[in-house]
Order: sequence, then structure tokens, then C-alpha cells
Amino acid sequence: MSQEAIDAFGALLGKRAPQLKREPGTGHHSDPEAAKSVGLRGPVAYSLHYYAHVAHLMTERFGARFVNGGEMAVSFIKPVCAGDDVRIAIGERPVQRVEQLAHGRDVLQVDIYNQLGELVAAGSVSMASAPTAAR
Amino acid sequence: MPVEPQTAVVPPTQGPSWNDLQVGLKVGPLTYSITPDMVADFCAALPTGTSPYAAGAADNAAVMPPTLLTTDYVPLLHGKLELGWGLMARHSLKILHPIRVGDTVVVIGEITDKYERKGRHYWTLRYEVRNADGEVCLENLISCSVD
Repeated sequence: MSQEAIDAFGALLGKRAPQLKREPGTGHHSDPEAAKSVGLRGPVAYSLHYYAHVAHLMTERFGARFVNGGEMAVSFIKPVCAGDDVRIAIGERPVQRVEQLAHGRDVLQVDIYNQLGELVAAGSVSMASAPTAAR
Repeated sequence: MPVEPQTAVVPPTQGPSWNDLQVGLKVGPLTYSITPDMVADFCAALPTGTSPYAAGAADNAAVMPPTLLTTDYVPLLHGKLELGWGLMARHSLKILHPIRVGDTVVVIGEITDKYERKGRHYWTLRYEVRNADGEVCLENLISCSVD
């Protein structure tokens, strides 16, 4: 997650909502001093940036099943900072919270790791179960 | 040798604070027409390809990436709550219907909770995206800290 990528994601909102008068290069997503002032080791990535990658992977993999009734829920555990790598794992391990299982839905565990193998975010994605083939 | 005064880097404090925030506060509406450029810009910033959203891929028509408007909590809360430099705790999204490129959508929300945990102050916002027919297409729930 490069600083350039973080800034590019942040700029999307400035373009869509000019009334915010966002100043590029400021705040804890871009300015190392600002980030340190709130206890971060460096500018922090937008959680919704890597969350968007989860949705993208699901759309790529499941198409209409996901964009028509898909759900996702992710808890953010540790900050991801500029220079960190993230790896998104969908369905690599069983769903960790049974309350996320739902009848008639295919539910997959989502885990997001940093370059140290630490879990930085986790949750689940789901969609209606695929219709079974007629016998 | 004189020491240059240091300008402290501190989170912004211009807007209403977490203490002022009322559960039940309604925010919005924001209105957009979803354009091909919005989709292209979003995919370029991730960065990812645009092919899963093209006509004929997930839907007959070109569709908006489902998380394109998730950051709308920022303009929704603009002037209602100073977001500070907090961190996101949780986000959930339900996609009830795809939003198609060319659709005009309206985003509205409501503060559903505020709480304190381990000395940090959190808020929860539910926000939804409706299409021009008034159908709820996306339901978002987000919790963030302000400090």
C-alpha cells in the first residue's frame, strides 16, 4: 500500500465531494507527522481502500451473485500504513464466527494480512447459495 | 541560538464534537449520477481492472463497483461531526440491487449509536443508497473512532 495509492484513493472523495475542500498531503492518511501525533507509525491507509478490493475480488469471482444480494462485514483490527503490503484471503479458512452463517447463503471468511503475516482485518462475505442442478 | 517555534500537528477541531453528536441524527441527502468516469477513476485508484463492471459481466448493463460510495460517510457527516483522525472499526455492506452506470442515486443516513471503549469515542452511521425508483440498493453500516 504505497503513499501514492493512499493519496489516489483519498483524492476520489475530494473529486466527488468538492465541498469538503480536502487539502492533499495533509492529515493522518498523508502527513507522517500528523500520523505520528495520533500514535501511528506512519500515514495510515484508508480501510475502505482494501475493503474495496474485497468487493472487487468477489465481483470478479461471483459476478451477478454478488452484485445482486451480496453482503460483506469486516472488522478492522490493526492499521495498515504506507509501505505495508496487504494480502486478502477469501475462503482460505472456515468462517470464524458462527453467527455470520446464514441459511440459504454461501458464507466465506475474509482475512486481510500485512507483510508480517499479522491479521489486520477480518470478517465475512456472503451471497445467496447457487441453485443446485436439477436431477 | 533562537529556537524556531514549532507548529503542532493536531487533528482538526472545527466541527461539532463527538459530545455534541445525537443518536438519531439524520444526514444527507447526497445526489449523484453514476458516470463511466466515476467507475474508471475508482478502478484506477484501487487499482483494478474495470471488466467485472462492464455491460454483460455481472449484469446486462454496466454496474457501479458496490463500494464506490462507501466513503460517503465523510460528506454525510460534514458539518455534523468533526471526524478528527480516528480509525475505522467496522464496516458492513448489503447489496440489495446493483446500481447501474447512468443511474441517479440518493444517499441518506442516520447516526444509530455512539459509545466509548478503551478511552476512545466511537460513532455508528447507517447509510443507504437509493436509485431513482426509490429502491434501497445498498445498505452500509460503519463504526469509527474520532480519536
